[in-house]
Parts: sequence; structure tokens; C-alpha cells
Amino acid sequence: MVAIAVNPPRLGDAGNRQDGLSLTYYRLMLVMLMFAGVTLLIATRLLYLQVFTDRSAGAVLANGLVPARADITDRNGLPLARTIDAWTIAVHPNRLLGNPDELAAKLAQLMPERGADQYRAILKSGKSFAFLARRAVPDLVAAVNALGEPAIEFMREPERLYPQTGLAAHVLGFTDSTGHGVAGMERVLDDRLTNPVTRGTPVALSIDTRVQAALESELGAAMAKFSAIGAAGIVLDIKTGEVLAMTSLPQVNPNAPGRGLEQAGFNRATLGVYELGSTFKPFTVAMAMDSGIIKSFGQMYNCPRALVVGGGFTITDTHPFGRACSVAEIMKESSNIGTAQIAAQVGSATQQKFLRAMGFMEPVSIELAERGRTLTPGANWGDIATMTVGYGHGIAVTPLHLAIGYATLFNGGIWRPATLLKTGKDHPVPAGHRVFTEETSYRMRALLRLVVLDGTGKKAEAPGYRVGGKTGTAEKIVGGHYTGQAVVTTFAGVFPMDDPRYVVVAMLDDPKATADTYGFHTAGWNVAPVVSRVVSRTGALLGVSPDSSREANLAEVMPYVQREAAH
Amino acid sequence: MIARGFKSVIWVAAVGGAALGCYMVSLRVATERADLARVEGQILAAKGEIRSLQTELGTRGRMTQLEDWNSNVLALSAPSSAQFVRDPVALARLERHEPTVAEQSAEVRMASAETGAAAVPADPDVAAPAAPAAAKPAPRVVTAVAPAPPPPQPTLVHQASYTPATSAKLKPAATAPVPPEKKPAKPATIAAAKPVKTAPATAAKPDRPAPATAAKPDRPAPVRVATAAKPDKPAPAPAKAKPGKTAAAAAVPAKTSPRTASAAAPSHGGKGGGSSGR
Repeated sequence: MVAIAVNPPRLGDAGNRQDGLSLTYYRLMLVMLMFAGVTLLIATRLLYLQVFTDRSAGAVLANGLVPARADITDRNGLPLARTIDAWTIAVHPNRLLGNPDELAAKLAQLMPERGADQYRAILKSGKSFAFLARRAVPDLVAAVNALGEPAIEFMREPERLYPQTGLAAHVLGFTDSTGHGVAGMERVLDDRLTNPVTRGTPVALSIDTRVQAALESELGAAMAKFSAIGAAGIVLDIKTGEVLAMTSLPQVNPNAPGRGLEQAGFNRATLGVYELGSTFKPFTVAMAMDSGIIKSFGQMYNCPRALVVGGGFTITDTHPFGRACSVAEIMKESSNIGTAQIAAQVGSATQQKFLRAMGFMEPVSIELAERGRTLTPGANWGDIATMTVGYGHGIAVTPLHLAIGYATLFNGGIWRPATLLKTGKDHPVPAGHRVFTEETSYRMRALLRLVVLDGTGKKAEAPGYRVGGKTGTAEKIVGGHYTGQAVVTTFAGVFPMDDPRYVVVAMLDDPKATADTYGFHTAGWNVAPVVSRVVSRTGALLGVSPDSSREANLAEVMPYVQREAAH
Repeated sequence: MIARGFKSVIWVAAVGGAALGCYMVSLRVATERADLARVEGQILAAKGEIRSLQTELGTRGRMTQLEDWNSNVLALSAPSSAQFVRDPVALARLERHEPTVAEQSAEVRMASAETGAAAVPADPDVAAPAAPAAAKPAPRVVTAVAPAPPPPQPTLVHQASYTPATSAKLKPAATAPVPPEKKPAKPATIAAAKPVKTAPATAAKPDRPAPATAAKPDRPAPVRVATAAKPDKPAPAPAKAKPGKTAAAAAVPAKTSPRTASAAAPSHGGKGGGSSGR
């Protein structure tokens, strides 16, 4: 090694020079340490980032599939409501480059919802932003893009889509432009659907799309055929209270709410209250059986051609007996006179007690917010009111009330609220409370089966499915008076009658008579066939296999029916 | 000396190499992670696409649309209760198997086998099963022969002269529809034997109905007689005042005559057979 010693030039004072040198070294050292420190810091940070950063970005990915609003599905997982990314076309009028007149004409050609004048007004408004179209289809987006106007902007926005369009529209409801539910289950479940924690999993409704489609199609056909102004239908599981199908016609399309008829948004099944007529008679008979008044279906009542009760009020029948008739016959021919006498025996207090227990005095028990208040005689619940309520007049309830009432009557006597959510682990079947005894529930089966086999409801029979039920034709009040011209016809059916599982209620509002019905507009002619067809189409889907060799126990009623019934 | 001089350099190189190695490993891991993330991104995109396609499919195939297609084109309807089968037995009953000729003959053999151990030798004798019936009972088991042959005998007798083997086989199988088809053809040759069926066709028939009516009371007796052919034919005719019908229906039932004959034949066969069997 070669060492070269250089004598530093001796300038100034040696002591000062020595101090200055050490100070310089010291400063140099400091700067060097600073550089080293910063470098080390950066290296450490890099190392840290390299080692500890999770590049899979799991959180982002996990959120990718979570929709802005949870899906709604039917009980089998078929989507009824989904949120999709839809195209929205907007314009920034203040940044417009092209000729507004030409552009407006072209836009009017592509999107005829608005005229060229309106588009011109928008384009010349000078605003910074305006929507041209929402929920645009890709073809339209491509066409508008081809116009080449840079001020037009295309955006993706989450939009609520109802793939089944109008199916179960009144159950689902719809959302407003801000994405919040404003009707139906969309409104009820709004929190659950938008909560970031829960919106990843779809909500399963109790609706069965196939049953719903069959009900809507058959009811819609009947409504068109008989020129009714409206219709409602319900299929209810007797044992759980699950609503498998519920419809109200005319329909509304939730994909374009507000574009339908004004009254289409009205849910006749839960919001509309109607006097449902003779469909109430089984309740009256069941009350009498529970109270020990009717001990046998052979019990006789005097059924004159017209029954005048206190105050000159006259009750008449469509099929007057003009003789003494049994309870079985009263139900079979739907006699108001006979039922009024049974109701009078039951008495006002007992009647009210039972009706209250069945929830007929309050808005129907279901999740929906669209629930109508029932109309009852209230303070005027005297003898006459008791009689008329006995056969379904003077009390107005919703079709869903009726369905729940029939479920109560035939599931062994237990009242349970209806539900639109699928029952299961998260949503157990409520315990309910007892209204009728099990024996009454059992014996009523034969009575209602008789009505379909041999009474006013023959057209509701669906071969093999053992349908039982009751017709109801109630006159509507027009201008404060009952009129025979306008009626509400209802059929409440239960099947299979040897082991009841489902209630089907169908109602037509103001059906007209046709040549097919020989001029009648009673329930047996127009709405009973709807139930028959709905049951035939859906029975097997619901797990009821048709069996001609099974039948309800009719031994209790058949002996009390006079074959040559006079009418 | 030199090594000692380069010691620091070697150290630096070693440390640098190690650091580089570590960095390479880290880089490799990072690359793998990035790939994984990209694949996951693709999966996510695919899922999103599946979802949107499902939505589109569901929308295009919505229930109301299906209903429209069904009402306009397919016209399918809900199955009726009669179309549901409740148990395996009912299901088995649904099988409608048309036996082939070979199977028919096989069946016959089985039937004859049941009648007794001597069934096999009976086959060759089929030519005159009815006639021998009287003779055979004696040598063979009485019970065995009686039940099986009785019903067919009438037809046996007819065809005996024509095609003994096949006719014999067909009888027990109770293939009602088959015999009638063959009969129309046979009458030509066996005109005398089968007049009853083609009654309207020939002039001779009118005479038979008459004898038939006359013969009715006698049948039991004549059955065993050698002229087995005649008693059988009268049988169908008398079947509930058919002589009148045959006369009147001469023109009309021309086509249906085989059927009426076949329908009548079994019933008479039963009666006649029973008597002859004895």
C-alpha cells in the first residue's frame, strides 16, 4: 500500500483551523446520517409495503357482487326484483357544441317520448345538467352516441328491475327514483334491503311464482270475460299462513310505476274492503257449533220464502225453500233466511267475540303497509245487524281477511297472521291462537265439500282435488242503496278437503252477466270456475296429488239433504 | 493479502446477493399475488355477467311471456287427475304391449303347459283339439283340460280344418281382436264353417239363422256332435235375438260383422265350450 501524505496548506491560526475541521467533519457526519436515515426510512417503508400489503384487495372484490339493494326472490329462489346497472343518458346543455335545433330533431326521432320542442328547450336552457333518458336500452345508447355530441354523457346507474314485470306487482311494490321502496314489500323491507350488512343475501318471499302466474292468468281471463272492473285473488297455506299468491287486478307494472291506470296501484286484496256475502255463512255455522247451538247438520230451521224481522226488515233467498230445512241444506243452497236464524241464536256478543278473534275487526295481519280498515256495524250491532253479518252483509273486510278466516276454520281452528315472507329458520311459523275447536274444524269440511259437490259451488270442482268452498254474491252499495245491478262475487275454496292444505279466494268486482251464464252474475257462475282452474293448474305443483279415490267424510251431511229440494 | 484486501468487497457482494435473492423471492410472490388478483377479478366479472345474463333470460322468459306462448302456440294444459299414477301397480297397468306373433305362440305354449304335463304332446294334436277334447279328457287330468280349452273351442272348431296350429295357439291368449281379422279371410275357403260372421254376404246364411234359432235349445246336445261347426255359428246368431239383426243389418254391418261375430263368439264359446268340455 502506498500512503501519500499531503501537508495541508497552513492558513491562519492552527487551533482555529483544527476546530473548523472537526466542525466540518461533524456537519458532514450529520448530513450523512440524515441521508442514511431517510434512505433507511424509505427502504423500511418499501419493505413493509412489500411484505404486509395484501394485494388481493379482498375487500374490494367481496363488495363487487353486493348489489346496491338486495334482490327479492320467490320461495323457490326465482328473482322477482333485482338491481341492475342501467344506462342513463344525460346532457350538459352549457357545454353543447352542435346545433341545438338539429340535435333536438334527431333526439326526438330516437326517443319519441318527448317532442323536438321539448328537447330544444332542454338543450337551450343553458343548465349544467339534464337527464334525457333513464333505463335506456343499449341500442338507444349506441344510437345516441353515434350523434357525436360531446355534451351528451352516458352513465351507469343502479336501477331496480322486476324481471316478471307485472307479476305480484302489488306484493312487491316499487321504488322511487332515489332507490327507496314506496309501496309493497319494497317499502316494508327497505331497511333490510339497503343495509350494507344484509343486502348481500336476497330476501325470499312466500310467493310461488308459478301459482301466482296461474292465479293472475285465470283471474284476468275471468275479469275480461265478465267485464268486471276489478279482481283479487289469494292462495294461502292453511298451516303456516304463508301467502303463496296474491294479486289485485288491474295490474300495475312496477318497472314503470305511474304509467298505468290511477287505480291500478290500489291493492284490492288487502286495502279494499268489501261485503263478502255468503262466504261468511260457514263462520256463522261454526260459531253456532262451537257455542253448542248446532249439534248436528240435520238440525232443522224453518225457512219461509221471506223472513220479516223486527222493524219490517225482510230477508229473502235466491233459492227459497218455503219449508223446514236442515243446516246442510241451508249451506248447500246458501240460504240467507236460515243463516240469519242461526246468527240470531248465536247472538251479537258471541258473534263479535269470534269475529274479533279472527281479526275481522282490525286491519288485516300481514307485513304490507297497504291495509284497509274494516267496516262493521260498530255501535249499532243489534239483532238485525247480527243477522245480516251472519250472512256477510253489514260487515266489510278485505279478501285476505276472508282467506285467513277460512284458514283458521280449516286448519284445526288456529288463527295465524298471514305472512309474505317464507317461513323457515329465520321466520318461524307463529303459534297463533285458538278460535274454533278441532271438532268444529273437522266437521265443517263435509259441509263445504257438499256445497261444491251438490250446491251453489259446483263449478268450482276440480276433479281429484276435493275442493270445498262457499260462494258469495254481495250487492254493492251504489248511491247509498244496495243495488242488484252491481255485485261483488267471491269464492272461498279450500283443498284438498279430506286434509285441508290451501285456501283459494277469488273475487270479482262488478262482473256482468253473459250468455254463458244464462244472465246470472252470481259467484257460482263467474268466480267459482276460476277457483276450479287455479286448483287444477296448481294443485300438483303445491304437492297435492289428485286422487279420485279419496273424499272428505260426507256421511255427516248427506243424510240431511233432501234430494228433491224445491227450487 | 489480496484476499484480505477484497474481504470487504466480498462481504458487500454476499450481502448484496442475499438481499437480491430476498428481493427476487418477494417479487415472485408479488407477481403471483397480482396474477391471483387478476384471476379473481375475472371470476368476479364472469359472475357479474352470469348474473346479468340470468336476469335477461329471466326477463325474456317471464311467466306471462310463457303463458302467451302457451296460449298462442303450444296449447299445453294442466294434467288431469286421471294422468297421475299413485303407485307402481297402477304404473305397471299403463303398459300396453302388443304381443308379436312369436310372443303369442309362446304364450300359447305356456298355457298348454299349465293344463298338465301332457301339454307338450297336445301341440301336435292341436289339429283337432275340440274334437279330441272328448277323447283326451279320459286319458288326461280332467280338471286341467276343462278350464283352459273351453272358451276357445268354438273358434277352434272353425279353424281346425284350416290352420290348426296357429288357431290353437291364438285361442287361449284371448286375443279377441286377432281372430276376427283372420276370419274374414278364411270364410272364403271355409265358407261352410264360418257363415255366421259373414252372414249377410251369402245367400246360404239366411238359412243358418233359422237353423240357429231352431238349434238354440238343441245346442247343448249338438255341441258334442261331429258337426261342431254348425252349433258354434248358430250360437253367435242367437246371441240375444241376433237373427233379426243379421237380417236387417245385412247391408249396414258389413264391415262390423267381423266384430259382432268376434264379440259374440267368445260369449258363446264360453257357453258352448263349457258344455263341450264336459
